Amino acid sequence: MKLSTKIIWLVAGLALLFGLATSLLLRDTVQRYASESARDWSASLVHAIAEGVARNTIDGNSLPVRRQLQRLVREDDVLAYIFLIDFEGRLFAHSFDSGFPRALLPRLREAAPGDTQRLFTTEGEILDIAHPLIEGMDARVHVGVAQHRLHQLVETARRDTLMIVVLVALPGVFFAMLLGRRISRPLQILSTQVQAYGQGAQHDLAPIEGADPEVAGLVEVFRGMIRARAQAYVTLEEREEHLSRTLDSIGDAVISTDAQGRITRINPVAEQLTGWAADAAVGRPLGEVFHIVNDRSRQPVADPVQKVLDTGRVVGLANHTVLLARDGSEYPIADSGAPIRNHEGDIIGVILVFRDVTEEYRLQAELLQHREHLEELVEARSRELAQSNAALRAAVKELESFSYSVSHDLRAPLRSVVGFSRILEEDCADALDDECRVHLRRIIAAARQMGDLIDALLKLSRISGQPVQRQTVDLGAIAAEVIGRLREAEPGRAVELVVADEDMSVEADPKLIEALLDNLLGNAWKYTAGREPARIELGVKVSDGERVFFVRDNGAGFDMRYVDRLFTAFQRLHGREFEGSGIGLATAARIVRRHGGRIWGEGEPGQGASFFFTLEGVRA
Amino acid sequence: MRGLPLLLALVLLAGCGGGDEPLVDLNERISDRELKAISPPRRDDAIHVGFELRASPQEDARQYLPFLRYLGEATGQRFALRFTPAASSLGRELAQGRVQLALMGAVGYIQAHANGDAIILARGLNREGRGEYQSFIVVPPASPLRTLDELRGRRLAFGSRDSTQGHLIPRIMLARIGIGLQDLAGYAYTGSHQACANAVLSGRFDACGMQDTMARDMAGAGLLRVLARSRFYPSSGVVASTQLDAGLRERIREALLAFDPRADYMRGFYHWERTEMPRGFIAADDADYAELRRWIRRLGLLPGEEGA
Repeated sequence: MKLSTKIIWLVAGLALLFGLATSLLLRDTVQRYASESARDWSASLVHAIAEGVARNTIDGNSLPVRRQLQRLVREDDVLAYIFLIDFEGRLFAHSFDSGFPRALLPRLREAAPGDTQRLFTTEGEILDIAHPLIEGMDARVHVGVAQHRLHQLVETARRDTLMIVVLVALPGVFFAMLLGRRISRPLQILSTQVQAYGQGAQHDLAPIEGADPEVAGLVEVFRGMIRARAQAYVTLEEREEHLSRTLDSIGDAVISTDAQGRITRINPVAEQLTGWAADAAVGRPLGEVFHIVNDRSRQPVADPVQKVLDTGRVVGLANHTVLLARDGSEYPIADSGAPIRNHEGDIIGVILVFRDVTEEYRLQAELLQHREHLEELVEARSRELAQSNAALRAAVKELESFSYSVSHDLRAPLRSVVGFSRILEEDCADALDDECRVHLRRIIAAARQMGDLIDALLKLSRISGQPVQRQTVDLGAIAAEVIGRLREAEPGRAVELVVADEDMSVEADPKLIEALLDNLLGNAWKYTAGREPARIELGVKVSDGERVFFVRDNGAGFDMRYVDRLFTAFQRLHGREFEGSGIGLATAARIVRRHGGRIWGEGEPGQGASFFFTLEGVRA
Repeated sequence: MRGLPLLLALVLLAGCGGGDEPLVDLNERISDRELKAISPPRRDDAIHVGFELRASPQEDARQYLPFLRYLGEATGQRFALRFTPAASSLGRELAQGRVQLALMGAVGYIQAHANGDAIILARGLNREGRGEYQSFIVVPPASPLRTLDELRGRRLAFGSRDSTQGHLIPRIMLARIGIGLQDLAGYAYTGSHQACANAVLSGRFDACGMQDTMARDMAGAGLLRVLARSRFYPSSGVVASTQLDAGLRERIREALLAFDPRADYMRGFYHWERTEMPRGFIAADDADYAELRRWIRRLGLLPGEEGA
């Protein structure tokens, strides 16, 4: 049904419903009003006659009451009848000329004061209203009120109402027709335009003249939708273009299929490798375009797309797969296939990515050759290095033997020099003057110093020669022993010795570590002579995850310009005010190096010195 | 076009009116004799309380029906008011069993008691709280009469002949000063106190003997002047039929004595202060009426006896 027709029907229906409702309401109102009026009027009537009637009723004088009732009925045609029930429930008097209507007998027995009943008689409708003769007592007066006047009133009201409804409805329907046409015409135009747009005959909607704001708004909404759709289409095209360019730019070959394995897209690299142009390939089953075999067995390789569709996972090709191009060329390829899923996670296609691995295979072969050649070279170099190491070790051994021999052999003549010098001093003291005795004592002192140097060299030599035997060593405990010996040697010195209250256990050779601390702590002891108070500290810190031990003192210190010479044998940075062989720090450095560690020093003249060292494998 | 049937239905509905009730014919009649045969008087278990009209039936019912409801609630019985027809009397109603309880004055009680039909239960308390009442003889305000003696040769109106205040006591007042009916120029029984007062107000009679309360009210309104007042005599009371169950009589007596015009249940009452028992009731005994009984006998007001 057309919209305009619906509007007409709606208006006509509403007018009719309004008329019906008004008619029913009016009729009901008139009836209710008439009933209430009849009740009030009859109540007034009963009230007017009540006292006289009541006295006669009490006294049993029915005749005057009957006459009075008949007179009242005669005088008013609205009154159909009146009858009176006495205090004992008996009919006392009535207005009928002869006899009493059988139809009213139920009212005698069943009614009570205040009851109302509608009676439909052959002479018209009558409203029977029972009023109490005396309020609170059983005697009652029934007044029958004829309803013909009421019916006339209702009929008139209904006729008038229908007339009004018709008078209102006719212009209403006419107006509805106009309104329907006014509303539906722009909608029809809009519908036609939308249809044309849907069929591609129109690219936009034209404004509709004379349209209501709602319809004009609807047109604007449609136009907005059209613009949005066009924009979305452009965006889609751009994305498609971008995707195509991306696929064309990829160095690998790409083929995509739908869920049935039919090719939906193929990029230029894939075209080149398969020998199929995109126009020819798209829409074909993958198997027709993408032939792959094992290069050794020449057997067809399982369709990767089907594997993806079956498993729903990413799959790769086995090695030694060869693609047979349309022109008969063969390409060793490597590829992978992956499922394409929609928003619901369903597989809607497969994307296959593969590449020509001919060059890759060639490079791998070359690489293999280079690696084999390199291994040969390394082996030759290793042999040479081993020979060099052996020669070097032999030379070192020989050097150490030489040093030991020199040192050992030098001790014998030196002992002779010292021994004969002492004999000369004791036995020929009288023959020597004072100057000669001074020279003699200098010879003895020099010989003793030389002896000490030889001992130090021997020790250094032993350190280099003996193997490192690692075990758990507590540097703190060893330091305590060393310091004890130092105090014992010079009990008169006031030196504050501080050993850090931390775990200083290391895996190292205990004898070498004792020699190390003996040198470093002894060095500090020596160079703090004359300091008041003197302070020597052994501690450990963590630097870059490595435990660094240090010995720090507040002694004479040294000039950092000569720091490179600190750990070289026989290099002394101080004068004769401090005794020493010049080998202590060189020994310490050698012990540290033998443990794979490092040693360095920091100092400032007059401000003390700090020596740091690490030991291999000692991590924080 | 699917809406067309609906619209047509609505049009038809709008045009319809009235129902299909069966019609009855009021001309089909039954005779009064047949009617009497099929509608005997209703009988119920209510205790009928006899009552002689004081004012109008409507006014009296309005005043006393709430009191009967009180008695019903107090005793668990149903009480119905029955006005005494003019052709009858409360004594006769009691004797015939039409009523089982009656609100009656001394004359009526003494007469009914003499017939063995009545037992006094309680007497009413007047506005002053006394179980007695008196009668006034009233004249128009401009009347030249000043003393009772001056009533000789005048016209005197009474209420009902069986009325204590409207007849017996005024007769006693006249008899005490030696005036008998024969000394009057005329007398009449008007039937009620109100009618008696109307007889004087209309000028038909020179004086009226009537109840004290109404006379006091009318005198207060300037309608009448009080010529003489009687002494106090036992007031009207509630009388029970001897046929009434003794236990029920006792319950009724208790309810009467417990009746309190100041109680909450009086809110539904209508001008109870205008009744003959505005302050409730006191117990009554037949001996209270001995003096009046002697006067009734002297005045010949007992049926079958001649007065002095």
